[in-house]
Amino acid sequence: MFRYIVKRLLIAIPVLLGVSLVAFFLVQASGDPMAVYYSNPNITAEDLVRLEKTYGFDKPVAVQYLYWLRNVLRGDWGQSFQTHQDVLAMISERLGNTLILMFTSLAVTLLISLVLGIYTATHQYSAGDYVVTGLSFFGYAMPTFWFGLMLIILFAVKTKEAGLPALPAAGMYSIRGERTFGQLLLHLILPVTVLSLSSVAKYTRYLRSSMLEVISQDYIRTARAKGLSERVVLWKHAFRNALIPLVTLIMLDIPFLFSGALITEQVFAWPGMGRMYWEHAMLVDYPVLMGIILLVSSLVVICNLIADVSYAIIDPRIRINQ
Amino acid sequence: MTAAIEALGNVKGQQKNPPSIWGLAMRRFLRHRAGVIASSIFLLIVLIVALAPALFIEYDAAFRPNPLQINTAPSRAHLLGTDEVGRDILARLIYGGRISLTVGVLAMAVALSLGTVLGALAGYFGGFVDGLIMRFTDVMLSIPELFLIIAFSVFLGSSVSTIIISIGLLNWMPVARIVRSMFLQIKEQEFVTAARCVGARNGRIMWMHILPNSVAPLAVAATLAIGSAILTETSVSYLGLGIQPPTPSWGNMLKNAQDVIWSAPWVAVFPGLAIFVTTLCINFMGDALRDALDPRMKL
Repeated sequence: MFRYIVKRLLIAIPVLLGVSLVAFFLVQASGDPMAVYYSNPNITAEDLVRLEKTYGFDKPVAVQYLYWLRNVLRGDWGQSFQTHQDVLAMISERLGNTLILMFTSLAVTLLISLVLGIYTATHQYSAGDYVVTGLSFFGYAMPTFWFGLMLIILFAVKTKEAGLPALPAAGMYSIRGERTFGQLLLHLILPVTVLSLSSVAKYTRYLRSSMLEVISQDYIRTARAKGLSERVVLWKHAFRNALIPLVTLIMLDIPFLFSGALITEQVFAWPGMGRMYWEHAMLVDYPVLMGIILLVSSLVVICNLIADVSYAIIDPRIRINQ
Repeated sequence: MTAAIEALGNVKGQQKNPPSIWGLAMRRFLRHRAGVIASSIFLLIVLIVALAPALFIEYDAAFRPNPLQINTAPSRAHLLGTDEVGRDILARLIYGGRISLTVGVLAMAVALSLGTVLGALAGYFGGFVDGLIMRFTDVMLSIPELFLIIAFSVFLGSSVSTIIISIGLLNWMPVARIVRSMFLQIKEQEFVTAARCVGARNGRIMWMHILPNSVAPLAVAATLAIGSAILTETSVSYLGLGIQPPTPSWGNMLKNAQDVIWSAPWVAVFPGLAIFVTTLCINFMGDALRDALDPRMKL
């Protein structure tokens, strides 16, 4: 087990370094970092030289990368070109809102796809199975932002026109109302629906095939042969084994969830990190873009590592067959 | 004697020829009802988008603003209504389809070539090359696509060709993984050893012997990649960082739709419907192709 974890760690570290190289490349490509100081009349030529030395800009690129990496590890992620705020502080202000959206969506996704996945697997080739499997194709092909727009038309615009209670279509809280938990839940409904749709489609299909595979195993027949009730067979033996591969799938999907959150935040004016990324992309604000890419990708790598390890803990076969 | 041979030939000719691999695949594809319907609809969309501008859509309707008919509802003159500067939505939908479909197909081609080369090198040579390429694949897979593609379009600008290249550059990873695993399997087979024995070089073995045997999963991956490339392009264009107006794309037609969603909801409906139907058809085609080419292949 220990060897397995070490091996995974050794794979994760070069990937993290690779991610940091990509981010550094973005910083490099964004032009001369000293340019902001040239126009400042209070900074003399000597100051410039001193600043170059402190930041290491007079060194070769490889050394500059190490300097940059050191700063990043110390928490100095640079300043926004636009607001001159500390990038890390800006991100941490918004990250929470994005995580609220993502985790709620993940919870909803799991809940729905577990129910649908098990239903379709236990009722294979029934009408319900065909309907769910057919709908999952629709979920796959649906463009996130358009689905969002359609939900706004249906549940915010049309309901209001008809004089019915309408769902909020923008922001985290209503503008005049109080910042209550109930308000937050109400504002979460539409964005979470949009963000969850394609994952629900994917996980339902995946869980269905994974359940069907497990149900055809010998140990399920054994469980039935020794007279266990169908419910015990299904939930204690089949379900738990079918669930294992889902762990990996969820972790591998985290990058998609971040991308999906970016679009969803844009459609519903959700004040999260994805929306901030978009705003600063429009402003050509490289330090912020670099910071967010670095953070998001590191989160992805760490999640993958956690998935690999927890997978090995849940399923001993992985460790042995490594 | 010759007569006897001819007679034999005739007997053979009367027998039904055993179907070829491709014949079998075709038959399986045609049995996939959703796949056949989806292919026909997709073909229809391609035909409309390719031919309609030449036949009955006026260029002006799609490109010249008309202040007299801003955001008008669907009517007989404008079947799908007009947009915020008074251009006909149907006409723009058709011109936009040219862009979105072209981007989808060409981006897939870029991703497919890059992924095939990298995956083949990794799978064939193994060892250090494999480790290097696969770690690079991991790095690229760790960075959420939309974030990187936005950064790309900020850096490189967003003309149609840069969008194609950036989407291609960010989508080769699944292809590389598929090709690598095919190469790992096939390179151990005897016909590869045989080829090596008669003196074939690595390059020849890779491209002439192994690659043709990996076509089935590649064809499926390529089909599905067109769909996801279209989704990516339209998402980025919706965000205003992809295809730039006045060139229409199914994505950027939705960019301003949200501002008028209260007064003119039809502006938001049709471009998204086009994206949805097209990707749906492509996914069904991919599914049918998978059933046809490799029944054992898993989801």
